[in-house]
Amino acid sequence: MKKWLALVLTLCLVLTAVSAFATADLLSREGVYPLNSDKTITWYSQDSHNVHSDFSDWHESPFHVNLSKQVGVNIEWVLPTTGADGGVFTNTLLSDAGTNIGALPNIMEAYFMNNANQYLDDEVIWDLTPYLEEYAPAYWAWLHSNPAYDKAMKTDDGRYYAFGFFREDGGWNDSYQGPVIRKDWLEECGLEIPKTISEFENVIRVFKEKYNAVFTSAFSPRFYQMGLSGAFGAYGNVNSGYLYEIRDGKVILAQATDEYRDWLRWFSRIFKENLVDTDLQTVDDTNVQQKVETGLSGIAITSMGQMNLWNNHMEAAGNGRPWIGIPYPTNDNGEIYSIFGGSGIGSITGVITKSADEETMKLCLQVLDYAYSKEGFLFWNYGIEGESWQMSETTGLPAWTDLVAKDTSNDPMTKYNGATWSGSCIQATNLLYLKNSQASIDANDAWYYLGMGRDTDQLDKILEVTSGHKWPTGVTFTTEESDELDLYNASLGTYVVEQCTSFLLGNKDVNDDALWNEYISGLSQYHLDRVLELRQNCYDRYLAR
Amino acid sequence: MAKQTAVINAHYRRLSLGKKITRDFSHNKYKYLMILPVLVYLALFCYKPMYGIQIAFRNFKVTRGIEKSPWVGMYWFEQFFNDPYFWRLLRNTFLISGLQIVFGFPAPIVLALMLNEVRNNRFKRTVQTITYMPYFISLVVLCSLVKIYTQQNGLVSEIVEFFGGTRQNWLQDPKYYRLIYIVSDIWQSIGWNSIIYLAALSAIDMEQYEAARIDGANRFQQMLHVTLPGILPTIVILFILRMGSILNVGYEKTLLLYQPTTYEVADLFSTYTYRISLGATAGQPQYSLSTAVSLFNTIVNVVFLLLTNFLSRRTTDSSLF
Amino acid sequence: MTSVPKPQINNRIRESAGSKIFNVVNAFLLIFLCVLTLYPMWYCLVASFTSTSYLSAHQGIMLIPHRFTTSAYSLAFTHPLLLSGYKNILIILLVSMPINILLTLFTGYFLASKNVLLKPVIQFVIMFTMFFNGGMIPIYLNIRDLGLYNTLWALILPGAISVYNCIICRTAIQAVPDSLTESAYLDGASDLVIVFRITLPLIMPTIAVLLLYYGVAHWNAWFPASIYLQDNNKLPIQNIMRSILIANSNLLNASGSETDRVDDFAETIKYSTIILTTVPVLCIYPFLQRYFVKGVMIGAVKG
Repeated sequence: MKKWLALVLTLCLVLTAVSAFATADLLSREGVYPLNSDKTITWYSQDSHNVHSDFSDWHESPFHVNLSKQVGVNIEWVLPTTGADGGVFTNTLLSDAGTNIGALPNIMEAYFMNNANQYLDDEVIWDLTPYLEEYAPAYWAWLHSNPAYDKAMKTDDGRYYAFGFFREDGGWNDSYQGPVIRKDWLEECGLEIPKTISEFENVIRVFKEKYNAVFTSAFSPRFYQMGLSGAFGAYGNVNSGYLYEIRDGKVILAQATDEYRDWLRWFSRIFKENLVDTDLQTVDDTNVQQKVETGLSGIAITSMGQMNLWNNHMEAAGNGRPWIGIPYPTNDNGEIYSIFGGSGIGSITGVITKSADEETMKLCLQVLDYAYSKEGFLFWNYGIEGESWQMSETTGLPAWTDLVAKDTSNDPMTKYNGATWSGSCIQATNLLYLKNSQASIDANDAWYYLGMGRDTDQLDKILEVTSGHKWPTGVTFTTEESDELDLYNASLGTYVVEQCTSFLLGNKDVNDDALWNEYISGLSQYHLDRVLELRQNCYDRYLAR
Repeated sequence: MAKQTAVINAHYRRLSLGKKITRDFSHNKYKYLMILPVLVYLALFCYKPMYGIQIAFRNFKVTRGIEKSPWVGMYWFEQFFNDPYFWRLLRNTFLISGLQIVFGFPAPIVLALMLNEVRNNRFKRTVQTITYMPYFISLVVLCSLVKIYTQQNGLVSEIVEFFGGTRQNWLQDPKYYRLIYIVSDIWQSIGWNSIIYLAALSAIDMEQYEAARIDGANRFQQMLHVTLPGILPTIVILFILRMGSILNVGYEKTLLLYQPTTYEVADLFSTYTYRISLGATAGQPQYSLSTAVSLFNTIVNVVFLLLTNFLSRRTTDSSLF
Repeated sequence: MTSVPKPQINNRIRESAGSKIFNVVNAFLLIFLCVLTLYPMWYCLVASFTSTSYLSAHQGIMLIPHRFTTSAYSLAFTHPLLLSGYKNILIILLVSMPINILLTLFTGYFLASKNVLLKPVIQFVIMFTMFFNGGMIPIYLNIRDLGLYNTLWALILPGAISVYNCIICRTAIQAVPDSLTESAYLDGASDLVIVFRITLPLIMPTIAVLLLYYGVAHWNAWFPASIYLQDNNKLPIQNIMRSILIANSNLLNASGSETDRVDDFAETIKYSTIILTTVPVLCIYPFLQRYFVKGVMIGAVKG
């Protein structure tokens, strides 16, 4: 811990808010901005820069208005209206691409990565390769500071098309959810923080005996992505977004391995013994929160934000802040295969559409480039200096002014900054520190560092466990591949999720070889072999970039 | 009067085609004038975008537009019929819709008849107002209420335990899923759907009741011989229309209620279409496939509509056309 | 419309015992249904005034608000779009309902008419649209082509007629005795006069229902507004409420968001939004309900 602090302090001298995770210095573009252009560009953003609910639209929102002033270009924002589904809004907007491309916004931030080739081939978006170095030097420098970034932001044949979202911390905050526990109960029972899955199970048992409390988690957003399968040498749980696992360079179906079956065996056993919340499948975050506050659970899987809420509500009721994050349990030999995490590169990207002519496109490049410059980085993360933030004398890092600190609305910083959720920018680690409570930050540390603490030198292992088995961000399918994959996707995903949930909750006996083999052989009906073949090709091309 | 009409009709039939047309237009010019704005409206808002149906026969990508997307014939229909889930989706959709028709369709009629027998107007109005309120609960809220009530510690479990049963989570049990779906459906719409029948009831001639009473009919017989026949045309028309939407079960409620363990009984055409189009999280929305599924859906609906219409014309006097 | 003398009053004296039992059972069943319906609704109302912490600790039966608070409403009321939301839905209703009713009446009248040469063709043209449509994307592009995108007209015009409602209207008109219209014809009245002077007053209960159907359809619709509008200040109230509700549920998280977005909205917000979206409609209903009072026909036929 001390080592980390020292490191931060040294880095603070370099003025940028780069912390222990920092991979590169940002290019200073002092004097370049504002550009003083009288042109207007249109900018669409699906979910990244929603207007804070205190404002009626972007004209009132400081971030949206200030960005225009900072870069010196008029920006007309196009955002999904309040209450609209962002994905649906994007899809309908894009339908102009086929008939009236001029109607598209110039910059669009949405999920373009999988189908980038098609958008490029159909001339919907600009191929930025020839222009990037000249018109977006800061972004160019950022991409070349880390081969992983460069790799993710281009197609297999080397065409650059997007401005990505990067976490300054690498993958730290991508592991924003994991196991949590009530510290006060743990102490009352005289137990240590569980390290292995057996110890974890023991805590569940003791809590059940003593408090009649069960293990719980919000099924859809928290539990079904990863669960605790990593302790069994498996990857993923029962979410169709977590079907494909990379194991020794091979793309396989995560839910068909023997290790995954071991995880199902363990969970279905404790589920059968009534150690797990029987409402597991139907509860959402709000229900779980209620259960937790009424003492129905003392050990769970949740996110750092949710854990913070639990603590807030329990504190308000006079019960202190008992919830802490604990590392994902390992197997009994102390090994762990995977946890919920990522590589720190987001899959929402900003692209420039062909509604922009060449001049406008170059202007858009400069506007987008701002976020990756030294000055723009600060603005995107904290807003305008002296208004929403100032340098703290104690930490040497940006800190909120009263404008943000005393604002009691939800996530008030999102009024002034653009990097809180995602977007074409670099998210400062310090921003996450400022945003979250200390307990939540510690929880994130516990999950990400696998219980080894921040000063661990086993970074390779962490990388392997958090994102090494995950389908990489930035892989691009060819048009033909995505046509075929899209066709199989829906039914294959439904089949796996449905079957595995039945095993998980004991509706089907996972120990019954006949049932298990039936499930495995059923996969071929859903074109699994073909899907894996296509994905393997794609993955190999990605590696070869 | 009827005789007069018959004479006019007979005369009319003898006319030549050309004369028929001019006569028709001079006779019915105001009727045509009335329907003109409707036709213009339909042309602009319904028929103009209908070229989009061809998406079902093309490999449509939004980035290319319809004309530039290649023609693939029946490809999407073949894909859909070969989908391992096709039969399950068909079965579930028919079952849910069938249960809605068997239980959900008569429920508001029964309520309307019961209300009709209430003599106290204030009581009648109060009941009406109360029963139609749930219609305004948004589905998001309704479904979260359902989830809370069906939890292990929820209201349903309390009641079941009171009668000697055991607590459980009811919603994630495939055995009870359809029951919960249908009951919450009826709960939400029974009052609202009875409104149309009440309007029809109010148009029944009071003298008919008087006549029935003089003939010595008791309350139940009056209901059977006066009230029901009085609203029968409305019932028949609504029934035909309902049959014409037999495969239309909305996706929103199912999406909010189903769980992986209840997919087996809950998954519908509409949820499938939603998953591959609007709700597609990975990959692009499959507009072509989803349009093909909707087209199949429509054709089944129309077949059922025509069938019901035919049967109803045979058995009762009322029909859609 | 003349009001009807109630023939049942003098009948009450000779009501049989069976009839009395019937009345009691009937009333009992209806009250039971009301309780079933009312309790969850009452729960919503009570919950909307209860403090969140109490609500989360007590999931069982609740009859009166505990730790009374109006905080669930104050959040909704401080929403910057609440007023414009109510204003927009009011404009939509005021503009669209006359159009709806006029077109539906005309269509119903036309479909109910006899001896019109082109009726079968036109009927087919109308019914066809009930089943076949161009799909979301072509309909969206059409709205853009017509220049309606990002205007309230995009919410008013596409739903101007519901064929379903036209059929209901036709069924009601068919029930009007031919004798009435035929005598008007003989008096030299044109169809336009007949439809407004004779048909319309006779089918008032149905018109009331149609008003309700159209009105509520506009009131509940949120999807068209979510794709056809771009300015928040044009949104109707339902979209504003939905944004509050969705932020409070897991719908957004479930779609695979990559960030830990947590909204600490009170659970009670759910309930206050129901109340806020339901109460205005409840206030209108009694005004329409009086048209369902028995015997509208009699007066007209006799007169």
